[in-house]
Amino acid sequence: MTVHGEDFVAFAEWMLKHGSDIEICYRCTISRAYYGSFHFTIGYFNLPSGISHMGVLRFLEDNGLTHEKSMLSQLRTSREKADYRLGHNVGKGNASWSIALAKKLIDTIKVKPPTT
Amino acid sequence: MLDQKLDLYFPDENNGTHGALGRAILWDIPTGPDQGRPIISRDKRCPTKEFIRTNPLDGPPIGKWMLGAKPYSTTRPVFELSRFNIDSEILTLTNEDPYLQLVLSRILPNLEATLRTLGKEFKIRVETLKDKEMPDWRNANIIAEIDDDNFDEVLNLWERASEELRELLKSLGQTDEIPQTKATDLNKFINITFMPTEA
Repeated sequence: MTVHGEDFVAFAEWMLKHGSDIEICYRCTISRAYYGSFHFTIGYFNLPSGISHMGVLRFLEDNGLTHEKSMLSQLRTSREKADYRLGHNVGKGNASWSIALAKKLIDTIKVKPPTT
Repeated sequence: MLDQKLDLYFPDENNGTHGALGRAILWDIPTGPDQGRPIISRDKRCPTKEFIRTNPLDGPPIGKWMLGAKPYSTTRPVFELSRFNIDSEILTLTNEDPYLQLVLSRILPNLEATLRTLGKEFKIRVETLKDKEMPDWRNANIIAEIDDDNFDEVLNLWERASEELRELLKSLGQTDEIPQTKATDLNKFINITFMPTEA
C-alpha cells in the first residue's frame, strides 16, 4: 500500500490552502478529510478490508472509544452533506473544521493500543 | 374518562428547584393523545385546570416521575428542556425514557454554560442521527453551531463538553440515579457535535 489514511488528510489540507476559494474545493476537502480518518482507523486497528462505514463506527463504540466514534461520526455527517447535498451551503469554515477534526482524531487514535 | 393519576411536584419558577412551593400537585392525565405529554412538550402544554388539584406537601419532595417511570432526585427541573430545539423523535424518546430525559436536562444547560465562556454566538439543537446502512440504529445528536473560526479553541471546548457528558453519566451511574448499564448505553447513544455556524 503506497497511500495511507493520513495522506488523504494531508492532501485535504493542501487543497484547502492552495486551492481556489470556491465551494467545490471546500466540499472535496471535507470528503478527503473523512476518508483519510476512515482509512486511518481501519489501518491502525487492522480492521477487515471492506468493512462498512457504520461498521467502523460500531467498532469504536463497542471498544469504548466513544470520543473517537463521535469525531468520526461528525466527519461522516459532514462528508455526506458535502458529497450529496448540493443545495446546502458549504463554506471554508466547514472545510477547516473537518481538517481540524480529522487531525485530532488521528492524533487521538495514535496513542491507543492498536488492538483494543 | 380518567384512568391515570400521577404525583408531580411543582417547580419553583424563581430558583429552578422542585417542591419549593411546598405543595404537591395531583395530576390526573386523561387517556388519549395528551397522555404523559404536558411536562416535556415544546409548546408547554399543560393539563386543563379541572385535572389539577393541589395538596400541602408532606415532607421533602422526592420527585416522583411520570407514567410509571422510576423516581429520581434532581435539582434541575426538566422544564429546562423546553428551552431547547429538540426534534420530535427524541422528544418522544424522552417521554418514554426518564433517564434520557434526566441526562438531557442536565447536559444541555451545562453545554450552554460551557459555550457561553467562548463569548461567541451559538445555537444548540438535538436531532436524531440515523444511518442508511443500519436502519434500526439511532443516536441522539446534540449539535452546537458556533460562530467561531478559532477551530483549536472550539475543538478544545468540544472535548471538554464530551468529557462533561461522560463524567455526568459516570457519576449518575455511581450514585444509582441511573442504572450502570443504562449509563453505559446512554454514553453510546448521546453524541455531541460542534460545527461552524455556516454549516
